[in-house]
Amino acid sequence: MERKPSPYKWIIIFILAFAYVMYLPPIASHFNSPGMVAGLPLLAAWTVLWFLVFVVTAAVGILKGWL
Amino acid sequence: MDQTSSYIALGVIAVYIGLMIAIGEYARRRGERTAEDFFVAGRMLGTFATFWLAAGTWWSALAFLGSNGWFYGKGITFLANLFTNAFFGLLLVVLGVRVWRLGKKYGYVSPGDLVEDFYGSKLIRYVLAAILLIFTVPYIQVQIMGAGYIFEASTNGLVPFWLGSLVLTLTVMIYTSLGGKKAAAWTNIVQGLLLTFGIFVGGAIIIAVAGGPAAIVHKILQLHPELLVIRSPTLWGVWFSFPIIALGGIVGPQMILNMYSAKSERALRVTGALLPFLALSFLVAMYIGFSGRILVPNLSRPDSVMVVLLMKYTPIAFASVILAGGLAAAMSTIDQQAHAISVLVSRDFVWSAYRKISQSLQVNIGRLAIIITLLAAYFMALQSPAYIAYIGAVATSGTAQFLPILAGALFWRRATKEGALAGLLGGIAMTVYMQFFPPPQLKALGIFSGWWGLLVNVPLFVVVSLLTKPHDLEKVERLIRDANTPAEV
Repeated sequence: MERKPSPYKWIIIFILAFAYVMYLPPIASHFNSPGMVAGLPLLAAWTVLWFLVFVVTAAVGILKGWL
Repeated sequence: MDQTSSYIALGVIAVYIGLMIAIGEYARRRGERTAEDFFVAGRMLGTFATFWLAAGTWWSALAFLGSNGWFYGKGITFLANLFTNAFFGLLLVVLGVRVWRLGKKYGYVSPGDLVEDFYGSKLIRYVLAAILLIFTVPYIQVQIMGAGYIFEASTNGLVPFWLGSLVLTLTVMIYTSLGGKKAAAWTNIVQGLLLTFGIFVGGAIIIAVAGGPAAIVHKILQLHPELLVIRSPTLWGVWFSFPIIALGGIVGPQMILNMYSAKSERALRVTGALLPFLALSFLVAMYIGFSGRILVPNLSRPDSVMVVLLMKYTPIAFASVILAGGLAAAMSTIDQQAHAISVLVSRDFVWSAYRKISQSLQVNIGRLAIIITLLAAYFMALQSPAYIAYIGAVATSGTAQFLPILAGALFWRRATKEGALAGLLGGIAMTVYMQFFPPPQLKALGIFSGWWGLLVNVPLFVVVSLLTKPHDLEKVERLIRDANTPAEV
């Protein structure tokens, strides 16, 4: 039997898409300059932030069966 | 480093190699001489084994050596690979659980089993197997190169590149041909734990020696600020190119076999959810690469930066254990890819043509294929001076061309064999063209050849499929329904 799609599915997909957009070149390149945050180069800090948003959201979606 | 240290390093590595062979022999004794047992571990791998099997396939010498080398030589651009890992985990769930459901229900053992059943064409099985085989061998070559670098550097040249690569090749050959997928899975658990320990503990020591994260970045800002910006022919080229590694990696024959080998959907879901977090080790790799630019600035082989730093700044016995983690990274990928090729040869070519051959003959043909494949990849490894990460991307560009056809078989009832063949062949032709003969203006965009291949592959697949008819609509609909119906939640 087909499983009923969860209403959370699209919320999860929206957050994943948003996290990926935040990492796209036109946005990421604003941090393409010297400087650091807590020992991380600025660009790395920005990339890691959105990577974490992406993987934590995806993990919740996968483990809850929403994706 | 004196000769005694070289022998200590050699001793540690010898113990490690002995352990791997013992596991292979144990797997052989515990296994049955059936194709299902040798090729997909009897579909009995639990969550822990499935996780480390996938990690072993995905986390290769590319992760252990290539990432450090890239940060050392080209700077921060490699962080684009963080999202590559995120996509890989997601794809493992989206595609993997569906492939698993079909494999379990219909007894599929190779990628070709699924494709032939859905598209109703033996020709497409042969074409696909040939393409996967051709593009998998360079990836094995990359791993053998990585192993050779580690051996050479950790023994201070006592074991030269050619000999170290050979020893590793023979080790993998022995345990994989003995125990098949079970041996790969069990050795991967040991190798995965050792690799993770190696990256994080070895990295922590190197970072401490270089003064800590903030001091390293501060120093790089002064000495090499160009390493802290995205450098490429174009920004878009780099950011969009890396995910092709995830697309190629997820449909590589070894990953399809991993999907079949899992005991449950749950095992694949947990693996897909947690695997991307391992990518945080790229941050460690970034600091290792930058530390290298500060401490050992003029390396002729950037890929060897971690090995050189460990040998120079940590006690030899400790460094050897960490470096065994690097060998683990290479071996855990080589074994699965060589094993995958054995499935392609034995199942997709031989069994497909002569279905009456016995199970044990299938297994023995698979073993022979492992031996031939590894020897071929070894000789290729002796020829290539390129960046490890670069060759890895080339290989995955080719295997990525399988993705539309696999997705079609899982989701699209209008997909046809004519469309699949047109897309696959067109995509491969474009990939090869853009890899070896790219027009200068397109090359300047810096986009990996696999994307150009998909740009031709997908439209061809869709248009030709819509112009033709599925061979057996009822069967196609049943397979798609089975693929999308959870066996469990």
